[in-house]
Order: sequence, then C-alpha cells, then structure tokens
Amino acid sequence: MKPRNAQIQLGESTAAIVVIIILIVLGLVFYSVLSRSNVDDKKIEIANLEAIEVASFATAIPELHCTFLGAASANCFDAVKVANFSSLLSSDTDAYLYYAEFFKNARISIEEVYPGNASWLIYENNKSVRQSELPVYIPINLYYPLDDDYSFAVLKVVKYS
Amino acid sequence: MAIAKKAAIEMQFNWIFIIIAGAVLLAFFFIITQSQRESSKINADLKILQHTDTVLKNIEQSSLNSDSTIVTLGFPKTAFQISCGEVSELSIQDSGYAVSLKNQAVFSPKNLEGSKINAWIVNYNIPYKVMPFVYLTAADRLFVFVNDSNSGGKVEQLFYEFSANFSSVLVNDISSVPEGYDTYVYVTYSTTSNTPNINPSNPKYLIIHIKPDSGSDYDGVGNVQFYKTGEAVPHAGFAYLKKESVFGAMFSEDGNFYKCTMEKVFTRAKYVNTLHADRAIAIQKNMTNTVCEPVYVWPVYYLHEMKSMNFSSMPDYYDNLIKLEKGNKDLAKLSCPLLY
Amino acid sequence: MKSQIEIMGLAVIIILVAVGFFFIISFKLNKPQIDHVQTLRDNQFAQQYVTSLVKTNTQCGFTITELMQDCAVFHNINCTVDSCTYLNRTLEVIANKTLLNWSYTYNLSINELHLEFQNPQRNCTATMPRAAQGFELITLYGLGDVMITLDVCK
Repeated sequence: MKPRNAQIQLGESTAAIVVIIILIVLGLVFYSVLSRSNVDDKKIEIANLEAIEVASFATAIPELHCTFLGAASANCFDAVKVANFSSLLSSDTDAYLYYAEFFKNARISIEEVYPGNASWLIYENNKSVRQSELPVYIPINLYYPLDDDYSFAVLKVVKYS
Repeated sequence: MAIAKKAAIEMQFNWIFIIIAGAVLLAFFFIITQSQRESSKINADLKILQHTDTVLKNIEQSSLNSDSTIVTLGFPKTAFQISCGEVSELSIQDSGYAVSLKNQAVFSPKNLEGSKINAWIVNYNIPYKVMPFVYLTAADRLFVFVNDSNSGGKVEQLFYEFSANFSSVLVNDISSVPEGYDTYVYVTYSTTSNTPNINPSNPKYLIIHIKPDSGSDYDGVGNVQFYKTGEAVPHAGFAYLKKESVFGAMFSEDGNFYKCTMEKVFTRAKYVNTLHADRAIAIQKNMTNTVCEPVYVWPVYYLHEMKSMNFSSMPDYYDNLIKLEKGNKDLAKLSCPLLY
Repeated sequence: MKSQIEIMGLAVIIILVAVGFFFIISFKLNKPQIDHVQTLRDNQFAQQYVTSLVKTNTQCGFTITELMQDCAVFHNINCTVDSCTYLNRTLEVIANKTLLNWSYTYNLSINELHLEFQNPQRNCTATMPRAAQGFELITLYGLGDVMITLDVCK
C-alpha cells in the first residue's frame, strides 16, 4: 500500500511541474506572438511616418520654395526652380546622392492640375518594390515668375519600403 | 526500521526536489527580468534617439516660417555624443545606436549630458536661405560675452542678439563671471587685435575671438579663432560669414568641429546657389521686359560666381552677397521678377 | 481529501493564469490604433488645399479669389460667361482632377454663392464625422465676406 501511495504522490508532484511548465511555455508563445505583431505594426507606422517626413521636407526646402525678398511663401513652389531641381537630380550623380540622404526610398513628383498640366519627376529611388499604404498628396501653388502667376498643383510623395 | 528510513529518505528527497525546483524557477525569472531590463533600456534609448531624429528631420519645416526657433528636448538624464567628420552622427553613449547628421548643420559640443537639451534653430541666409543651423547645448555651459574697450560695443550687440534661452552673461571683467558651470565659452571681439586679452582660470573653457575684416563686423565677414583650456595660441582659426556662423563657432566643441560643419553647409550652398543661378539665367533668357532685362545682368553674374565658391572664399562670397542684395532690391523697386 | 485539495489548488492556479492571459490579450487587441498618417494628412491637406486654391490664376487671367468676389458682389468680370458660371466650371475641373480622382469623401463649397462639389458616390453630409476641415475667408471690402470650405469626411 505505502509504496503505491508514495508513487502516486511522486506522480502528482511530477504532474504539477509538467502542467506549470506547459503553462509557462504557452505564456511565452503568446508573448512572442504578440510582440511580433507589435513589431510589424511598428514597422508600418514607421514607414508611413517616413512618407510624411519626406513630404514635409520637400515642401520646406529652399531648392523649391517661392521666396519674395527672402521671405518664404507657404505652400508655394517656384516653377523654374522645380524644373531646374528635377534636371539637377537627373543629371548630377553627386547631387542625387546628396539629396538621397534626405529623400531615401521615395518617389517625389509635382503634377500641375490647373490651368496647365505639366509634371515633373523630382526624385525617384525605388530599391524596393513595395510602396507605403497611400501616396501623400500636398496641394501647392506653382509660381511662374515671368508671368507673376500661380497655378494649382499637387506634390505627390510615394514612400517605398 | 527500513520503512522509517525509507520515509526519511523520501522526506529529504522532497526537500531537495523543492529546493532544486525553486532555484530553477527563480533563476528562470531572474534571467527573464534581466533581459527585459536590458531590452527596456534599449527601447528607451531608441525612443530618445527617434524623438531627437524626428526633431532634427523636421527642422526644415520648423524653420520655414520663422528665422529663429527654440526647441527644448527633455529626456531622462541621457549622455549624447555628437561627432562631425567622416562619420557625422548623434548617438547615446554606450548604446551603439545613432542618428546620422551627415548633411545637417549641427553645432554642438562633442558630449552633451543632461535631462534638458536646448536646440536653437536659425536660418542661414546668404542672402537667401541655404539651410537651418541647429545649435545644441546643455544647461551646464555658460556663454560669457567679454565687453572690453577693443570691442567698440559690438560684443554687447552680439550678446543681445544671442538667445535668452541659454545661460549667458555680459561682463566687462572676467573675474565677475559666476561659478558653478562645467564649461565656459568666452566671446571676445576686436577689430585690431588678433588675440583675446583674457586669461580665464576656469578648469574648462573655450575662447572664441572674433576679428572682422576691415569695414565689417560680426554680421559680415572675418576670422574667428579658437582657444581651448590653457592654450596660449589658437588651435584653429577659420573664416566666418554672417552672425549665424559666429554663433556656430560659439556652440562648437572646437575649431575643427566648426570647420567640419561649415564645410557641410557650403556643400548644400553649392546646390542652392546653382539652382538660384540657373533660375536667374532662365528668367533673363525669357525676359521680354526691356526695363528689367539690363538690371539682371550683374546679379546673374554674381550668382554664377557664387556657384563655385566654398568655405575658403568667404570674403569674395560676402562681396557678391552684398551686391546681390542690392540687385534684388533694385529689381523689386522696378517690379521685375526677383532673384530670390 | 488532501489530494483533492491539491487538485483544487492546481485548478485555481490554472484559472488565474488563464484569466491573466485573457486580460493581456484583450488589452492588446483593444488598444486604439491612432493612424498618425491619416490624421496629419487630413488636417494639413484640407487647409493647404483651400489656401492654394484661392490664389490660383485662372485661364481668364483672374484669381479664384477675384472671381469669388466678383460673383458675390461686383459682377464686372466677363470670361465669355459671367464670373459665377466660370468659377463653377473651374472649381469643378479642379475638384474632379484632384479630390474625386483620389476617391476622397469631400464637400467643397461656397455657401454664399450656392456652389457645392461632392464625390457623387460618397456624399460628405453634415452628419458624417469630419476628418478635417479647411477654409478661407475672402473679404468683400466692407460688404461682408465669402467663405470657401473643404470638408473631408472619414
């Protein structure tokens, strides 16, 4: 009888340990699954924030902005600067690499909506194929200095990730 | 007897079993806690760097509508390291993580420690905006503007243009400088003398001696010399162009840091100048207004010259800058398309 | 009896751990996901849109602002049609090329001039929650104001 009781007790203790270990393992599995999904969410959030950063940078740089006696005009790009900047980045490798530090993997273009329909590809670097969720559109005015006229245009930024 | 011995052994076995199991569990949880603590520190460091990176990346945007902005970065006490050179980056000491400052004009000491870092963002206009300058400092640095007879009141003017958000004093005599700071930056100015006439006794200081070119002042062009603690001769002397670069000299770790950052600035200036020059040429080519067309000739020439100027040609750059400012104002008076 | 108590103890531990997991998982799943990108896009976008729109020069030579002022009060401008008709056509062209083309749910309106442009497939009504709003107030030089508004609905 007694040896049997002892065996039962031993079995009981072992079973308790096994159950606790299973619970701990299950807990770790759940934690790692949750952490991984958090990391994936974070990656998407970071990619989208980077698209905004690139767009914000593009709207603020003196290489594209309209200025009047030094004062920058909000939401306004100089059409001549746009054309020249686009030409500079496509013809000068050093300039392209310099601005690639800011723009990274992105496609930046300006599309005139009204009254004209000109468009310029400012920058493109698509090492990866996947885009951010949506392109970022920023409405701007394009200023033509010779005519002293403004047209309605859109700055479009697509971030590749 | 045998049964009693068996029971005793069983009892002991139980206790040994409990101790081993307990020790294993404790060790397990201890390891988990340690790894969580390390990953939490890494998380905190990354968050701080990410926040700083976001602020630095958005300085173009934040400097758009204002020529001068102050941003205060508040963290749990963090030790930053800022470098300029082959590798330009801002990192957290001993963390192994960094954000790149490759194409950004950040003037700063090499080590910044504290729970509050002040960033002063100022547009560098030569004469149009080239890029924003970021001056970084912590609360343990005091800027001492030494107003002596050689300065002709210019040090006082410079002091009042200096941001009130940073610890600074204007003194006639350096013996009245308050104690209690880790580093002292002495600013001296003279149109005649190449050397500062001060000999501080602080354990750690930097002297910035400003000597403008003839006919100029701190907001023009000249030379700035750097003296570190105990140096009788400057370890470096470089040109400055406009007061923003003078402030840059004051915030820099030393002369070499200033030079490295100014070289980055003029790399950017090369592209901005090229774009402005090409724009002016395109406008001049298509200009039909006979009143405006002749006014364009010389400014276009100056812009074209500025395309190839760099940090070593500051006096020439300044000459062209003044002429360009005048040319642009003349165009404005005639309601012609402006150069900038 | 003793073993029964032990089994019950084990069962209590299992239940406690299970409840703990339940709370952790539900907390993680219910955490509100703030879409920073969409918020920023909408807030800046709507205001930038109307600010840029009113400064735009039309093919007739007048800006949108001038056309709005003329349509509201002066009635002097003639762009082969009156300023109100021309303004209507121009805003429709711009809205179609941009907001409609991007499938936004929007309402671009100038109430005082009875002009309104919406996505025909997705109306942005007064009761729908707004993602953002932008507006510009155009002065009529002492004769009042006229306001152009862009509502972007969620």
